[in-house]
Amino acid sequence: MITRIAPLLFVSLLVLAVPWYWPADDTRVWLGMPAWVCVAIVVSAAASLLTAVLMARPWPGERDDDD
Amino acid sequence: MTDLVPLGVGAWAFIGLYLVSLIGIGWWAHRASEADTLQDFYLAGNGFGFVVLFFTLFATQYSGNTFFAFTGATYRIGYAWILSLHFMTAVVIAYLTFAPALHRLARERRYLTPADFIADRYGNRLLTLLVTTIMLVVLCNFLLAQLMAMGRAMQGLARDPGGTAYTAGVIVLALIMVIYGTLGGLRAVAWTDALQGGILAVGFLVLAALLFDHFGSLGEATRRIMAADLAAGTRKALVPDAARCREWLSYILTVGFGICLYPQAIQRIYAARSARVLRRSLAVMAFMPLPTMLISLVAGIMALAYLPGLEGAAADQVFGRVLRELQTHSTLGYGLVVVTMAAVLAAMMSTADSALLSISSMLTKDICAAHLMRDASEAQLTRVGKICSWTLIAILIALAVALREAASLVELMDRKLDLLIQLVPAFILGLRWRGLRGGAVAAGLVAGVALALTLAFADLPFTSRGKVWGFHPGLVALLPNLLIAVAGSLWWPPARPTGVARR
Repeated sequence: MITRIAPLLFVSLLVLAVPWYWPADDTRVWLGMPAWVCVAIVVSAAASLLTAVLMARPWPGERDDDD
Repeated sequence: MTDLVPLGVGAWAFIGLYLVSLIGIGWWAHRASEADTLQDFYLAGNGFGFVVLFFTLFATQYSGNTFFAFTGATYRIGYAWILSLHFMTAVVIAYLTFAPALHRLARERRYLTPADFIADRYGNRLLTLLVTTIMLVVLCNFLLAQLMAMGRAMQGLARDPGGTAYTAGVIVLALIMVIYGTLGGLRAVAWTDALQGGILAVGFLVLAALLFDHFGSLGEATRRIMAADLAAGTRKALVPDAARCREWLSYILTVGFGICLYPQAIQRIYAARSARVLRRSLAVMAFMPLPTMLISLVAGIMALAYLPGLEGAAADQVFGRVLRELQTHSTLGYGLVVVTMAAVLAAMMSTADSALLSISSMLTKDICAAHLMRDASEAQLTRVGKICSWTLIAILIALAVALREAASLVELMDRKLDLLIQLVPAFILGLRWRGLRGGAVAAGLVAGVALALTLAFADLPFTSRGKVWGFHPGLVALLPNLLIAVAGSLWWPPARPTGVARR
């Protein structure tokens, strides 16, 4: 299931990663950083997590005795 | 880096010990070699386990750019350089699109160089030659940039504004690199990468601790930059404008797909002992951009808030200014800066040695063995490879010395990736679509490279600073490249598929 929807999830994260949708005059600071930077970091962490989950699953054609 | 306080005997001894240990590891790797074959020399007998593979991937992906150019870029454009976190993560995501299939094929069909896959998949000599040529040009440029960065680092350490320390640095570090590289091949390079990757990781942690200890909280720095933004109308902490957002998207795609197609990256996919080992290493690699890129960003932000005033090329040197601040802070700061400097040298050398070995393998296998020495034995070819490494490094040392004042590291990175991304159809699409034809891919590649270079270097009304409305010329040129490859494959007269395409 996760493998099938992974491309869609990555594209969604890509859309969220770039701060095109933030109001230009936003000056909020979260955790010492501009709020839009915090969101960019969270999106990146989500992409890393999704990648790691996909890497944890055996690849097509991978044999059990591969190691 | 000429801002650094002079290093004492102890500091030089530490750096010297680190450099000598690299040759020791090279000798150790030489003793561990199992056969006098190209496969053993250039791919360590395809036997890398998790730890070595992870560190060699880490040390190869994070280079001098991470410290110097990325800190400088943050200083110039502000928080928007957080895009580097995204493009470094994109590199690992991009591996997902082709590494599983390529690793399986490489094991079954004993690939040594990236061109081995191209020759096997398409059976098209022109395409194989084109791919090899592009990779060689890109890697020579890349290696030259790393040698020049090493020279500048030594110049900074020795506090020599003239050229003596630069020249000595380039020669000494390049010689050490070529010695351990020719002693133990990829095994030596990967083992030294493990040491260098370890120093690099410690260097990043040390840097983070020093930055917060010396400059204070990130919140205060952010508020200073934001106040300057509101006063001057800049956007270094405020939300980036539309042009910067387009550039951001372009960086994610161009760097993501460009870096994963570096020949040395592809050869590490080949060298993994198993798919499981490769998966595990890449899974950990997916998280590495978070600490490394964030620390590099924080260094640039602190410099922007507390060390303002650097313009143009001087901004690229801001990392040196930051180190001086930390060095003069306390005795502990001085010692920790020495560790950071060793990490900087490690980052540069670990990237450069991989590039050197990769170039040597392509010259030996794809040029000499394929065209000039078809009857040569494996042992003879391995010797030729070592001679190639020494000859190449001699030429590049001369060039690095001659071109001491050249383009910035980010500019060099952009041009290389504009070319590398043109290989996406040949590798990634070629692994996923059996119908893709070699002739069509070659035609698309030529068109893509020609367009990318024209857009990058011609002064056109719709280009600015080598980009098209904020997009990398390579990314723009990839569209016609892909279109020609796909359309040509659909319309080209059918021929009997060869090699791996038959399956």
